[in-house]
Amino acid sequence: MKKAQMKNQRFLVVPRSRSAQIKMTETIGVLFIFFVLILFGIIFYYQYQKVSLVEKQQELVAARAMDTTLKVLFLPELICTKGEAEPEDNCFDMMKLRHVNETFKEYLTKYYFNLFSYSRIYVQPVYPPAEEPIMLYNKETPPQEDGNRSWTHREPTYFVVALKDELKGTAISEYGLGYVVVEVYS
Amino acid sequence: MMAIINKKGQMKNQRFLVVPSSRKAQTEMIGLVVIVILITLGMLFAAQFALKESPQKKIFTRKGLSYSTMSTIMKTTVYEPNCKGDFKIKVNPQIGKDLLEDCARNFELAPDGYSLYKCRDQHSCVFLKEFVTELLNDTLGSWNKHYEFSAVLIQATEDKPTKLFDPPITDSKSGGCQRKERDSSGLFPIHTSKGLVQAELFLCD
Repeated sequence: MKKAQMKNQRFLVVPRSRSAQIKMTETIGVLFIFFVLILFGIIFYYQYQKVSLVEKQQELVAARAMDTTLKVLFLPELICTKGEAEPEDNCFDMMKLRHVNETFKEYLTKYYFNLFSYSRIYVQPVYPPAEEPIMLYNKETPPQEDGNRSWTHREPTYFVVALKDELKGTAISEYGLGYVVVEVYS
Repeated sequence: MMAIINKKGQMKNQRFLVVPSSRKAQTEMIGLVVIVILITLGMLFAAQFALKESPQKKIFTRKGLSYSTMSTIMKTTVYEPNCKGDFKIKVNPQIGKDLLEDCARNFELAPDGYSLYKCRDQHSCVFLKEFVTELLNDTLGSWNKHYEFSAVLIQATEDKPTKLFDPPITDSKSGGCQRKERDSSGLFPIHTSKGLVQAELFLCD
């Protein structure tokens, strides 16, 4: 008997029927908490995905705006040139700028739409002060069937540019200061 | 897993659940491992948020914008009263080429002493500070960007570079880009008879 007792010391002894009940309740409790945690996880992940999807969308629109801005900044129709010399960075020639809108309109579907897609591009002179911005390109997304506008957001990108004006009548080129705004419709 | 001890013991044991303590320890260990795995997953998820880098596009835009702003400011021609200097051929001065050089040359005589250009009847250093602030406020300031414009004169005779604008030109709201994530336009050097002038623009959100 003593030997048997000694052996029993290696086991946990619980009344059988009661222990099964406790175990069942325990298992149900653990499973409940586990599924609650999983549910929380799923809700959290869903919310995160929703936010990150919107962010990703905005990022893509911003990247498109950036690409369009770079195209505008280096567009031969606008950039300052001096004969065969290298074009000047971040500089628009006012003489070109004043007439480029007509060219853009004329070749809109053939060429410029592929470059700028649905966007609005304009130059705002800051110094010397000028009231009106110079509109270069404006193509909105086609309106909805009920006539309302189809875009919900306009992502703007700004770049400061020098505005070279050779019509000032001096021997040396003179530069104003302005900024180009590229707004992409989405 | 019933322990068979002896006949009497067997009868007694039928009413009890007997679990080997070693097996119970194993089960507990599995539970602990699951908890550790869950915590690790949670921490990895949190780290993903914390270590998320600011988008490349934003940095590129800020850098590009600071460079374009600086290069444009340096080129800008000034059309202000009394700005044409003491020349036979009247030419409007440019900020980088003429006014900054003049400011560096006559820096010691500011704010009321001699300078070649007297735009708005001011010493070229005083005028530059006022004018550059206006330009930056009309561009970067209107887009809620913070900036810091500085220019230093490096002379062969001096140990330390001399600040031409002290304190540097900053937006009124934040007081510059100190202790902030910022991007630089890079240095714009101008050689003058007084030494090398280095201008730089910092941009931050």
